[in-house]
Formats: sequence, structure tokens, C-alpha cells
Amino acid sequence: MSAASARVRPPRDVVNGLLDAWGILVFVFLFLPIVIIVIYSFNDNRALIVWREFGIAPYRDAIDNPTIRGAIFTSLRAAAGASVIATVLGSLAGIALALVSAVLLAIEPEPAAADTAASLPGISRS
Amino acid sequence: MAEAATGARVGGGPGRPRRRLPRFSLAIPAWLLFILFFAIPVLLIVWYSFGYKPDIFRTISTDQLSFDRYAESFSSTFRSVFTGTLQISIIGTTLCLLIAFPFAYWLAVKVPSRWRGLLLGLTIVPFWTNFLVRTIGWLILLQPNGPLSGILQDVGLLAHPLDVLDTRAAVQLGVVYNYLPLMIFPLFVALDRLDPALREASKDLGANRWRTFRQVTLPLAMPGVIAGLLLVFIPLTGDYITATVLGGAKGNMVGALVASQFNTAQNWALGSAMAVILIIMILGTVAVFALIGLGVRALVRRSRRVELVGQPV
Repeated sequence: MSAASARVRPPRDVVNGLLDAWGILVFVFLFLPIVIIVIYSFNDNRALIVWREFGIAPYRDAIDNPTIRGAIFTSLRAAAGASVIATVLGSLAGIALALVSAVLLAIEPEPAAADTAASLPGISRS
Repeated sequence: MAEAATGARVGGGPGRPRRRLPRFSLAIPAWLLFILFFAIPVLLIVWYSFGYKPDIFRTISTDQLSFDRYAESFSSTFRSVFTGTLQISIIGTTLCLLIAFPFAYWLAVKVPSRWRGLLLGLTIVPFWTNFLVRTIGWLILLQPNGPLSGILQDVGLLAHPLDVLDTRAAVQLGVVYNYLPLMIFPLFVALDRLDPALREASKDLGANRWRTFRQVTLPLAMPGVIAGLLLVFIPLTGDYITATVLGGAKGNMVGALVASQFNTAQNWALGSAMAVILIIMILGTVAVFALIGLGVRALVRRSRRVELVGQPV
């Protein structure tokens, strides 16, 4: 392909068209149940399945319900705590893994990177 | 080894190294967590699986150890659930691969690069959405008087209301949906890392599309395929949420069976034995497919070697 024609969009062919269609179909598949949940969250009916009319009553009920409010805050607290603990323990374990594998694999500091750093203005090799 | 040690010391800073803790000591907190919350519980499950349920009020007793719970797990009542689970997970993993591979290829190769980041982000959104919420989305969708049923009947594809809920088919659909992102991500990474120059070189050397795919793209994407298969198959086989929400009695899976033994039947010994069998079943299936994969690879390599030696240029 020459440089001039490289800027032109490749011609549509059957395989590319099928791949495009497949990509769109997979996205529809991935978002279908999520969109349905969002739509049905505005369903003004106590029964989940049967659609009655649009309304924000479910949201009002959820916010007014102390049990649901408590559950939301519990979830947030648990998530925050888990994130902090996982970050600390995971970082420490990651550092240890990097140190140990550097010894096991005998990884030297990359000379190429050191040269690059030394060639930068203001950084001299000591 | 000595060189490595000096190398690491140089990196550590000037001066003589002080006595300090070994390098791995930073990992000790994570190890403790791992031992406390993974190794010990699993060992406890193995221990419990040899016990029995003494009476209706107590859940477990281990004063007499036996393999009886394993025999019970393999009784005809539960055996169909084990084979059904294996069927669902093998078909589900295969479907995930077949759906995800063209999609990941499209995302990594065909989509204009300015759209790629956005579309990849959109692929992560369902993955971030709560597992249970996604599954309940399907519960609404698949209702006999739900939206999908209505549309299919209006279009004329369906003569009567959709009757798929509480069957194995619904569970199959649910697990494919729930684990599809775990197949897409490793495939995308593998295909995205492929240098387009390799495909161009293949084309320049006279290979058509199909041959380029078969002999260049697919072999180089194999690490991604294997990672995706493991990431999907292992959690999918142990999944119980999908089966509980969508499966009913006909679409039961081992995970749901284990959960019901612990929560409802209060028979921890039987539940533990089932859990151990599930673990062994997963490991065994992975091992069998790994052996098949190695065999196929050896055959492919041998056939290619013959081709190269037999037809000198």
C-alpha cells in the first residue's frame, strides 16, 4: 500500500462488515440487561417484572428506607476498607516479588536506560 | 548469583549494606492473609468432607472419618448436577471464546484507534456492574411476560410466551454473559500487542487472509486464548449466583448445590465433599485440556517441520 493510499479508508469488504456487525451485536448483548435494569428502576409498580408507568417512586422509597440506607453505607465502608488493606498488602507483596525475582533472575539495572538518563541534559554519570 | 547480589546492592544505595530483613519479608503480611483466609479454610473444607452430620441440630461432626460423603455426592441425585455443571461450563467457555475472539480482534485491529480506548472502556462497564444486578437484568428480560418475550412475539419469531427461565438454557446464557468480559480482556491484550507488520509480511509473502489468521495471528494470540480460557472456565464452573437466579430446579449447578448444603440443608460434611469434588473436577478438566492442547501443538509442530524439510527452497 503506497503512502498516498494509506490515508484513504480501506475499502469495505465482507469480512470487515461482518466484524463490525459482530462488534455492535456483542455491545448490544453486553449492555442489554444493564439497560433493562436502569429502565425498570423507574417502574412505578411494586412488582419488579410488570411495567406500569414511569416514576421515581422506587428511588424515593429506597432513600427513605433506613435499612437500604444502612446497607449502602455498610457497602461503602467495606469497599473502602478492603481497598486500603488490599492496596497496602498488595503493594508490599508486589515490591517483595519484584525484589526477589530480580535476585532470582539476576536482573541488572538496564544499561540502556542508564545511558539514556546520562545523555539527558542536566544528568551526568557520576 | 554473586553478580546478581552485587548488582542489587549497587541499586540499593552507596555504602556497606546494613543487616536487614530478607527481601521476601515484605510479602509476609500478604502470605498471612492468604494462609488465614484461603489455605486454612480450604484445608478445613477437606477435613469436614470426611465428617458427617450427626443430627438435625448440628451441622458437622468429625469424630468418625469416612469417605461416605463422597459416595453420597456421587449418588444418582447429585451426579446429574455434576455432569450438567461440566457440560454448562465447557459449552459456556467455548461460546465465550467464539464470541470474544472476533470481538477482541475487531476491537484491537479493525476499530479506528481514536475510538479504541472508548470502546474498551465500554467493554469494562458491564464487568464493573455488580454480578447479581446483571443476572437479575436477565431475569427480567427472560420473563414469559417480559420485554424480550413481547418483542419476539410481536416480530413473529415466537408463537407463545418465552419459556426459557428456570432451565439449563437460561443458565447457559447467563454464564456466557457473565464471564464474557473475562475472555475479551486477555484476548484483546494478546491481539493488540501483535505488530501489524507481521500480518503485512504474511500478506506480502502470498498468504491469504485465512492462512494469515491460522498461521500468524492465532499462534501468536495463543497465550491470550489460554489465559482467557482459564479465567472463564475456573470461576464459571464454581459459579452459583447465575444458577440460583436463572436456573431453578432444572438448571442447577454444583456451586448452588454446595451453597444449599451449607445454608439450607445445614449438612456441612456433604457440602464440603461436594466442594472438594468440584475443585478436583476443575483441576482435572484443566489438566485434561492442557494435555490435549500440548498434544495438538506437538502434532502441528511436527507437521510443519516435515513440510519445511520436505520442500527445500
